[in-house]
Amino acid sequence: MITCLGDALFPDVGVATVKLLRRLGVGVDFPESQTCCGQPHFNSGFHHDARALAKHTIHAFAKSPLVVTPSGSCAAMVKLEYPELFHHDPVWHGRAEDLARRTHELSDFLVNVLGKVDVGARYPARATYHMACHLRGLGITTEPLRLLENVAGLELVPLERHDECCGFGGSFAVRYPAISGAMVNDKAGFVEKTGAEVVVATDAGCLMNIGGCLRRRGGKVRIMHLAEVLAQQ
Amino acid sequence: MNYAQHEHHDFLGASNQALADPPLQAALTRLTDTLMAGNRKGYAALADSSALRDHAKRIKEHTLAHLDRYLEQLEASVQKLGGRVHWAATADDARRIIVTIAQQAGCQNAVKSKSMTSEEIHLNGALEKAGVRVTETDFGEFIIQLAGERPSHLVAPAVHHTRESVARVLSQHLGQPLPDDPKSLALAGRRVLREEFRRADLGISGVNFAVAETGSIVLITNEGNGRLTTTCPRVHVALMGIEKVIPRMRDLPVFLKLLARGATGQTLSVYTTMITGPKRPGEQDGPDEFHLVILDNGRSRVLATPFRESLQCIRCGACLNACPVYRRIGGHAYGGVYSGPIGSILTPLYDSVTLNPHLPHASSLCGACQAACPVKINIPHMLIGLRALQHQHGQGGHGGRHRGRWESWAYRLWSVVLRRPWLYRLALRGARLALRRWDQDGWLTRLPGPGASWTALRDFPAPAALSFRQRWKKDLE
Amino acid sequence: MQTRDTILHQVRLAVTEGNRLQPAPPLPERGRIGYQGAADAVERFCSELTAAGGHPFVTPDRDAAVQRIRDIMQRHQARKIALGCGGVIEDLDVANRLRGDGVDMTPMDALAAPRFREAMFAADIGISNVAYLIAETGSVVMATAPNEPRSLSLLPPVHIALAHVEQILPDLFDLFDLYSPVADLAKPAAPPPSCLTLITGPSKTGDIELKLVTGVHGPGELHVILIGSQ
Repeated sequence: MITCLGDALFPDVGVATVKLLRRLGVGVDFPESQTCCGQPHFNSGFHHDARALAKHTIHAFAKSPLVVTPSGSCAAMVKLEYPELFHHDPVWHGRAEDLARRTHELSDFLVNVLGKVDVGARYPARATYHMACHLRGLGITTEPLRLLENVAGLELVPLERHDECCGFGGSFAVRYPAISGAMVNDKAGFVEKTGAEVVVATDAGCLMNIGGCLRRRGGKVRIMHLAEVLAQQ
Repeated sequence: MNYAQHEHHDFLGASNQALADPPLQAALTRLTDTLMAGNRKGYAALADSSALRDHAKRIKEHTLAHLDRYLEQLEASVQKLGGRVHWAATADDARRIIVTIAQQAGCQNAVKSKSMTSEEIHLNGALEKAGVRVTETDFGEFIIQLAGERPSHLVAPAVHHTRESVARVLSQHLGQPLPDDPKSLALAGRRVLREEFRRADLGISGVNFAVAETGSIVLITNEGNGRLTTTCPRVHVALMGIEKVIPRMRDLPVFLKLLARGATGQTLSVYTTMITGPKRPGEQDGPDEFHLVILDNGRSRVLATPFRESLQCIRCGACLNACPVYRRIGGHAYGGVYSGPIGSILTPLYDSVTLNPHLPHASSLCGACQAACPVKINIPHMLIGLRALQHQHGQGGHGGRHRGRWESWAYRLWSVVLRRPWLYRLALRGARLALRRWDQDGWLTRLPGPGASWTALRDFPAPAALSFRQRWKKDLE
Repeated sequence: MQTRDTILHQVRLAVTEGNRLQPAPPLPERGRIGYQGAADAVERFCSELTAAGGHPFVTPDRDAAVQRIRDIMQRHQARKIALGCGGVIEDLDVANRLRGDGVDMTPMDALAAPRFREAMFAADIGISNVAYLIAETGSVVMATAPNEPRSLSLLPPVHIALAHVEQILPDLFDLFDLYSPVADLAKPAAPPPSCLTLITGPSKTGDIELKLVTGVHGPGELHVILIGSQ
């Protein structure tokens, strides 16, 4: 599942995910009718629209035995919110639960389904890791770190307040630029303090926000998605 | 009078003011860093804290689902021991009841132990008007009272004060200059307040938990003012919201083990006091009269809705400490009696959804609050629920009806596009073309419309020349 | 009465309405979840009390216990002592053994109401028995009763609590079980005292810039002297 932000803004992440999965012997398909999981609508309180998009997404993945997405935020939407959205509709509730069971965030899939912490990646760089908020909801707290620790040549340095939100929050970043800006500037400051060349995250929202802030600050730190690091050899 | 006496509904102005206040920023960083480190350490030190938190949540769920029964049991248990029970439907009722108790018992000097519920009903003003002097005895609350302010944190009400400002406030009250070290100030506070306790004939407290089975009310403090308030004066009035009841004595330690750990990381707060009725024959101290005031004030209305989960809150403050927004804007910016993530739910629910348009939106929904909460309240879900409720009132996040309608049409249109992949592809291409002129090696430094508030502070990634789905078709399929 | 019935009626309606949205769960049984009790109760008690800022002292020797009290009194140059009755205080014969030390010793059972209050506000040190101790949290448990007043462990700036090691309960749950009815034995619970207080360290505040200050309202020092083997 490569949904809207990843499709339009970070296609390299999707490409890296496909390459990585194929390298590990996983057959990959991309059902082209998929667009957006509906999380922006759900989070803004437009549950009717979110339900329509959820049906669309459930339909798009009806034939996929397993769904892997390099986005904690889409995974959280599908796994935690879809069943809830159809609370009073037994038919769609069942379908939603079914998709929720089949769906995995990338690091969760690699570590807990494939049982791999070493995916054979090699990337010589000094890197630090920012934990995306949706991983907290999914209970994925150590998987990305374990994967990064096993990347050959990668020097992983700890990030202060690594699990604090970067200030993205979808419409929050646009509605409350001063608060969101204070959050992301603190985050960028902590990243710069580590002396890392690369900051690794697992969600398009964090990539946009932290990456955009780092670039505006004029520093040299790059932002990469976990999949991009793991695809390197 | 209303649930919340706002001095403003200007969330944006107040939060900007807080962001531009370096001493406040330093105080909030210190507070939230310290208490959150405690919260993590506290849960980690308790072997199966997550399971215990689930258990605590189930006790609360059960109690709320049978609240009428437990309230009646509580009433009977209190009366059996010679306590008096008073029911208050509104804040106004509660104020009138407490003033009447004071007048009938001839009380003139009241001491108060920290109680958010009494803040909620604005009790102090009503007592003063009836000629009863009121002294807040939690040290932080005392400072706030002298300064004429509202608490800015559930358990650290004076966090927005510095040692210098405390010294100023206290020196003025005592009419003598005090040094500004915390120890001298706190001990000066002890001396003043000890005299108040000696003089007091009325003690007013909140209730952390009320045990239906025994009629015991539980008070938790670190300073000991809760004990003094319920020991020295001859009359004790305890004020509780209807949601504070728990079924049995054996359910209490479940919450005791979690409350202090969640709030500060302490294994237990210094003083946990269970009061069961007034002084008994032969005892040398304690109040002759014990009154329990049970307050509804909108709670039963919330009990009937999907927001019932908010009534599980035990007012520990953990969600404030965990919240990246609270730590940057502080408690006063929220405008209500309760602040932080839980305040963003309570103020709209109890005050007004339409008059507090910002609160449900001023959250990145990061979930740190739920992760820190001793009873794992799904605060992000309820914030989203409030956003949906706003739409039912035809209102958007910035308050204007006009904007609300515009926004709901935009989301509707967007969802229509997203359900038609060909239209989605077309829209993507359109956006790419429209934004091309601002593209600087893959980033946009300026955006039109609402995007401008994004690019005021950071760059925005430019749509890629080829979307993932194009590259899938070209190279990967 | 009318308000009472109105509120309860509303709550009843709200409960019914809300229960339609989500089913009402039964009151859960805890099993062993969260139980922290272990074999090393004395050690655990002492380390937890120390962590909370209190001062434990364990001795099998009664003379050493009395000497410890005397040391604390001398360090504070205490003049007025408020003294509990019965229990360990009587076992150690504290009243008679400290009488020669030139202090004004007021046993609780000798005090009528007006003098009681004065003596409590004036005392430099309060010496009390305890009902129980909790190893898990390092707490002392005070149960109010005639001659076991609330003020004794509250008003004087220094509190000395005397106990036998046998009074230690491993876990908080053990304490509250004592006040809970046992359903299958149809055993009625011991009614809780008018005031049951758990004290965990000295009185504390962090209200000014989070700087910890002790003794802001309650005692600034808490000493627990445990009589027993070790």
